[in-house]
Amino acid sequence: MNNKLVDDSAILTVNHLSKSFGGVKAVNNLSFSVQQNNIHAIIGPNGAGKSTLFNLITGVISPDEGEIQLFNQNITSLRPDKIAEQGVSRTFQNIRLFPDMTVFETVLIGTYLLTGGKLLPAVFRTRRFRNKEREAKERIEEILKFVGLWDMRHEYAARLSYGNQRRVEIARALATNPDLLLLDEPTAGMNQKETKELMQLFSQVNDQGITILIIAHDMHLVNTLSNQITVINFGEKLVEGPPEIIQSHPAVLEAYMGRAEANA
Amino acid sequence: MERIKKPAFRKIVLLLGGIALFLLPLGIVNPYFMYVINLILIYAILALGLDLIVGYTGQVSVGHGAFFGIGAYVAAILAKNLGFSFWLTLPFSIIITAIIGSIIGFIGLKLIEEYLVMATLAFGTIIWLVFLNWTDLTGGPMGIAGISAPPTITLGTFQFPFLQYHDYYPLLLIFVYLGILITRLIIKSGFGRACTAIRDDELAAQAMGIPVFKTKVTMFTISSAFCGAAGALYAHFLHVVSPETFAFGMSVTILTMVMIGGQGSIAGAVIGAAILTVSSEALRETPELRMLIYGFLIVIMIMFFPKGIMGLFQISKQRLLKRNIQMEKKVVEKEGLSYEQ
Repeated sequence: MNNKLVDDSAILTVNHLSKSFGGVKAVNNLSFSVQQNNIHAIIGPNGAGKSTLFNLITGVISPDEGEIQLFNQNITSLRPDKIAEQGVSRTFQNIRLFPDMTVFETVLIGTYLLTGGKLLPAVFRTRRFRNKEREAKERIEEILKFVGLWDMRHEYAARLSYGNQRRVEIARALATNPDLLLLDEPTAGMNQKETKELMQLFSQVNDQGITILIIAHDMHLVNTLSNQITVINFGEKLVEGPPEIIQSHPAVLEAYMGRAEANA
Repeated sequence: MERIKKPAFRKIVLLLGGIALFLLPLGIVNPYFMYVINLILIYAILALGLDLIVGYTGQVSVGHGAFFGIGAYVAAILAKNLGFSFWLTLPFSIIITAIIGSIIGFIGLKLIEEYLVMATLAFGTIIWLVFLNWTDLTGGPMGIAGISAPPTITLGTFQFPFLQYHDYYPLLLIFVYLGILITRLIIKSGFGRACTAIRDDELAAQAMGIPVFKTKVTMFTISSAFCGAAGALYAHFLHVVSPETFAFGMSVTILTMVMIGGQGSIAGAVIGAAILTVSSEALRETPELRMLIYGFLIVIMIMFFPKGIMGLFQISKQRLLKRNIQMEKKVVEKEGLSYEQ
């Protein structure tokens, strides 16, 4: 992997990104790029800056320094909704669903970029408006069948099992029609069965041509699923490469061993 | 929001009921009762408007009484000073109130939760002070009297003049129906769904590509436009406007209507308007007591019936289910942790 500023096959390029909170450097001069159609994993001990990195990419917070490019276009410090418009969608570390909505309604929110938020067409129910609404509902049907939630579409999303709630989140993210999907610890808190099923879903999503950037703790998941891994610690890049290399890399072992000792 | 097909007869019943309501004045002799019913209709428009921003978008405003006042005063001033008829003052009231609403929304909606409440409170008070003190324009504490009735409507050989309370009722009812229709069309659209998403989780909504601030300001503007329309109706219906009507108490009253009827519910807004109008007429002799009771009611509603009357039937069941989910989640989280270690 090179870290040149321009990388044509990259969907996402992060260049010398830094972000501090008070005196703490959460992300420090971090550079990496995500190749199209990859499942790219970001791993690192707790507090390594992984979630901060996601929040920077999705525009929830702005970096102090550095640049983020999507398809070689600068998206640094754009508003989150603008970044979603550019084709980046995400799930959240602690599942964020809409408490009063059914599965169908929740995923329908994801079609906002398709139907738009225009008022006058809505009030006058123009043909275009009705077509878009129908199109959105057809797309939801397709997505819900794809993630296996079609039979539960009338249930309140927040009442589903933890694993299915995550599926709803993923379905909602897919409804925005993303090129890049960011998953923030999508299997945290899941049992082994749920984890396995979700991993299957991720590779199916990837097969549809959606690039995935995933934060994960579970080394097994990372090794089986991803084809590129970036290890970060203290906000800096430790190593990067395919799973075979990362698994046995001394620096990675040290970072993780260190964490194990601290926990014990 | 997937369409669940309603049986056709339900639609027909609703339609017939809606038409039948036009015949209500035939059964009412006492003009005072008619007056109260008309007031309910005006308040229903206000409550529908406030519910758009409070119930559907989750942004609490205690300044909507001022928007009501702006609509009423614009109509009163145009009618008195320029001789505009109701059909001319109405669009002016709506547009001017909406413009002021969008400005207040643009400033206030940068704030969240209790700060927004404080900002709308301050705005409402400032507007009320303007009504009270800009004597040249607003008539000061005396207000403006002698506002014209809407012109007689002529259909062929039939004439519908606006002489007594009974005559206003069909006109007001049409506006309530219009308000309900517009509300429905808005909430059943991408825009309306975006508002509910913002209410439920702003961060998640934004991640779905929803421009949160813009959507909030737009809805705030529509909400204030509803109040502007209600204001114009009020001015031409009562023929007099005075500042004390549009003081802080009015904002609280409208909010109480929405809370009691049930936030995010069209029927709830109308029911809330009916209950509060009737009870405030009943408590006419002791207005101090009224505010005390409203305050108490709001606290009770928030604590025990957050979805108001419309949510009463499902609430206990829902709470039980929600508790179950939370417990499940905790168990799962614990299991998840033990896997890792």
